[in-house]
Amino acid sequence: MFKNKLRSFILLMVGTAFGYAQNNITSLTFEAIAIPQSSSEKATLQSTKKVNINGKEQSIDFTPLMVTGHQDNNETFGLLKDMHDKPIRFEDGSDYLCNGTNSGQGAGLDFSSMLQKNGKLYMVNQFECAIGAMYLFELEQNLSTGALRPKKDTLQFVSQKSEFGGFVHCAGMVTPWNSHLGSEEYEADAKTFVTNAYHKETAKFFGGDINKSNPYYYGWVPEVKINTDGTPAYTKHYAMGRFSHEVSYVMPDNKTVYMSDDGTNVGLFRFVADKAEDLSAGTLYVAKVKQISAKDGGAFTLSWIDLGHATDAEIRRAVAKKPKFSDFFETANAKENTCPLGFSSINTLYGHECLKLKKGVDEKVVSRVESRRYAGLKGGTTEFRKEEGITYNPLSNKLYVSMSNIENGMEDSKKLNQPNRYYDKGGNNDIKLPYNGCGAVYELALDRNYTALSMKALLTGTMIKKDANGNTCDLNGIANPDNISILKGSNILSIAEDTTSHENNMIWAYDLKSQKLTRLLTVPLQAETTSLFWYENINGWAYMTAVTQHPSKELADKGQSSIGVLGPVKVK
Amino acid sequence: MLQKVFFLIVITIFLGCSGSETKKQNTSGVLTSKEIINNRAVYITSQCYTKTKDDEGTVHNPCMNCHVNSKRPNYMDDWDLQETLAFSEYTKVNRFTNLFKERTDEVNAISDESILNYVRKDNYFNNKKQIILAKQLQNLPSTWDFNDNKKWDGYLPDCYFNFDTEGFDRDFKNTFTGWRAFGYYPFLGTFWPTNGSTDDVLIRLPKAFQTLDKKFDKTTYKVNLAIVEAMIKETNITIAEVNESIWGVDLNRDGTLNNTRQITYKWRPLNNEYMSYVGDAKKLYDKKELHIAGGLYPEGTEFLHTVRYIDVQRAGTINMSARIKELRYAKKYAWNTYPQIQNGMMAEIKERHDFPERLKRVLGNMEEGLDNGYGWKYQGFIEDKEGYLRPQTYEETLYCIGCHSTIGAVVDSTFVFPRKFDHHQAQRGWSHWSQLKNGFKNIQEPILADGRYEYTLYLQNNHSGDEFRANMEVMEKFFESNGTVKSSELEALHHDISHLIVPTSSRAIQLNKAYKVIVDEQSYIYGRDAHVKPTTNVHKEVEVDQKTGLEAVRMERYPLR
Repeated sequence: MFKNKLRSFILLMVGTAFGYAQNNITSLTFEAIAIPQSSSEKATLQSTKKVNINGKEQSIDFTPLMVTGHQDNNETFGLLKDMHDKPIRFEDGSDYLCNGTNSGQGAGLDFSSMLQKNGKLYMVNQFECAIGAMYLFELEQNLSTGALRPKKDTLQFVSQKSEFGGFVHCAGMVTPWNSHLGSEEYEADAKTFVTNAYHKETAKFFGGDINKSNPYYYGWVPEVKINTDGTPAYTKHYAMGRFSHEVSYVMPDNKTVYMSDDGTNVGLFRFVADKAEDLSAGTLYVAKVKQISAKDGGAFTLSWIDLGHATDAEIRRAVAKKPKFSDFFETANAKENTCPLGFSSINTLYGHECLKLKKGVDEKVVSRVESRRYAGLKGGTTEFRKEEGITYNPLSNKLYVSMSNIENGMEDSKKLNQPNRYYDKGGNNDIKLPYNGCGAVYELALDRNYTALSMKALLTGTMIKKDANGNTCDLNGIANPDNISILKGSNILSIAEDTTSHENNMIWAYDLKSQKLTRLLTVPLQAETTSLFWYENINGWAYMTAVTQHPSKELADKGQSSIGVLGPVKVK
Repeated sequence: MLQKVFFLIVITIFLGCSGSETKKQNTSGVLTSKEIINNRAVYITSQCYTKTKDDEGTVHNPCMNCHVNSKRPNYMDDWDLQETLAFSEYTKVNRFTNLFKERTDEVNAISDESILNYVRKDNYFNNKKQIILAKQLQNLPSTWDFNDNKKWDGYLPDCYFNFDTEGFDRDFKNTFTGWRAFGYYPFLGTFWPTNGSTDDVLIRLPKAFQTLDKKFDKTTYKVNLAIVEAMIKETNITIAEVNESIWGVDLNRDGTLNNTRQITYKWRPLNNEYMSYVGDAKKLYDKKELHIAGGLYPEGTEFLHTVRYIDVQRAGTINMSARIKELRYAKKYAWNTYPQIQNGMMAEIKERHDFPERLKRVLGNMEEGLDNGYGWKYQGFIEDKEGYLRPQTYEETLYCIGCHSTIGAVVDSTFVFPRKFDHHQAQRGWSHWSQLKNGFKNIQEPILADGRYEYTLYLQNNHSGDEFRANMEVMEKFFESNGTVKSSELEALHHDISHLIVPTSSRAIQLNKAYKVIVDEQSYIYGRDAHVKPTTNVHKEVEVDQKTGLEAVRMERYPLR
């Protein structure tokens, strides 16, 4: 927990078994906003204006904090840099800003975290371009109004040159020890990476020389801590495994981390660090699910397959040698869904493969650089479809994982409800659910050691016949849930969408007790919401962060992605 | 309410427009509706469903026209789509059902005389030489008013197709409209007259490019157009002699301000080599209100493209018809830098990977145009049932967006300006087809930057003169029965593109009739390709991710020579 929050916890002496009720929230409801109707409502951000906390109504609003391209302290927010921390320029002389076109096409800022350190408030921001970038700045908080604003002359670039640079930074979280835990998504298949556009792009980091890059450099979990002098301390956690990291979420033991893998036919991973607040060494596990019901998004029991122990240093040594896929595996052609003797049959993001570990290979290294394939070889379930956000409710000791769609590998040898063997061929076919193109949020029950034992759908979207505005999921429910966050101390689960099935992407508040779903915010047409994260108590104020990504040009911030906060909500 | 209904009926009779219901009802035929009636992925064109293998096992590659290796700042580089049918569960179904219709009876019911009368009847000007469509848009029917503000917020037709000897369009008071026609090598296949239509393309740059010290100056405008041509073709452009000191810009890059006949393309910002516009556009460029870059048009660039029937004047010659099938318009409303474009295209690649079933989301509407995502808006007008031009619906316009956005073959989302004739051609390349007495006759075949003949390369790889392999006239003329191209015909083609791209009179008349059937049905959303017999070389449904059997053809395309 944040240090000053710990203090307030002790002072208040209110608690649950898991110690998260320091906000003393007995009731919390948000005023719902309507579905955008007019073209101007659809083209602009709409947010809830009222919150009722413990029976008292408060006014809140959404305030943008920083826009991509903002210049301060000789830095440009979102500018990508090379291996020498020099700005990357294109042939037209333009700086490589991680931002889309003026028509709102492209990727940008994806996650921002507020960290309390040194008696100050910092924001670490990560960008989702092929060459990743992170920026840090200080925030000023008005203690009487809760208003936040960036502090002038504090923008800093977070160099990642010590670890081969960053890559497609997606979602993240604020760890209980007040660090920014990020992600590198969409790792290139080391078997076929040569033609991968995202991999090719990393050449720009190495001064245009693709031979200096390697697919194994990317697909990890970065962490940024704030030093006592306010500078960033950056590390890449090779011990936590390499896959398409959406988000890594730390449990209250400060050791257990759940990790989502964003793609088709992917796994659900758990990492248990050796020491609290230190993710540089630990044991990696993959979930093996046993389906017990196919109803309403399904229910499963979970067991965890041990993928071994490793340290950052051990794996970094191997990665720095620029390994090749063929250093780890032998491959063979499948005959229908079976593999030749000695080869294991797996079906992951990369489809059906027959693999055998190379003789004499260091399995520890394979378990980390090829975590998903290795998980498949060990019998783990690699059938999830676009695992996205993760969050945890200390009041109930439940974990939540959003699944963008229930389709492909999650169906029973089907694709979009039509017979199709591609995704289950040669794999376990552990998951056999009916198709749901609107997705689901799953609830996982944990034991006292934070190990998930079961998983069932909490909330599913409802497919509808396409309406006149192009909506294909019921507007009064979720569509393709992405980032999720619990407002700790409450039973409010916030759910952000990344969808084309709702005309405007939405952020919802789901009351886990009353099971009521309230619309909190809608973003402009063609924009996505990311960086959803609740801060339950920053000096007496709660905030929800959100990034509106690649919004259309009609929005006041002219097509740039920006980080902003919904709030402040007075909690003390 | 009654009044409104009455008004609508009057409008319908007057304008002959097809929608008689209010747009609120969102049903078929309502022009302002954004509802998709037939095909949510209509931006994937009918040609994309062509069978690449025939019964004899010969492979045909029409894909190379569009999906090809590309040059920055077109980062799509989508040559791989020549090799794989990268469709989704939705897009695998070919919804261009007009391709499979038998039109013989309808076509036979139209006499040659009546179709020729039809195509020769002007639907752009009335007999007072007023632009019919512009008049209607200024007197906006509510059924065309997407945003209900009682005025037209899209393109108001303002071209008079009245060209001087330098290709400049002038209204009937002889005032420059800013539009300038240019000659070009027609784009491969579909855009050859032998496959159904004639067309023309005009360009216009914003006022600041046309003026020197706020006054219209033709020389300034001509030089600016030549600079844009140099930026798009990324090559030197020969111009009529000008004195650089008028603008203070060293156009030929010889280090002094003197007389020059050349715009020298030397643009490498990373090496501190920059280019500039001239006249008032230069002032805006210096203030960073306008931009310049290789492969990109300046902000405010407009294109006008008419697609027309084939008028048969004398035996063996064709002309553009007076009647316009489609009036297409594009405007670049925003500048995007190379990294912005690259980011947008990379995100599309990732989106296709993450959500293969997700369809392209295209913002905009029929009144203000559809946004291609890269700074351009596209809008079109098409014949209504009575043959008058009416705005295209959202779905009809969506058809344009696939090609005019993210395929390898485009340059800043456009097709033919990079294919513009150079100064060796009539009117130094700035001519409207109507000004060329001999049409395409004796125009030499374009040669790719890599030295190969472009049309020949297409014929050799496609083994046909059109994407659907339905043009039997070209088939019989150019190909041996085993599918190889006759070298004698290629030889003739090298010297004269009309040998290939101009249809016989009888074929032209058939194609006109076949398209007229689609006009009568107003069935554009089911396919606009003119066919009499059902096409047989097109998939009704493709197998997702199936290999085409083709080995991708790569090329260095521009500048053509």
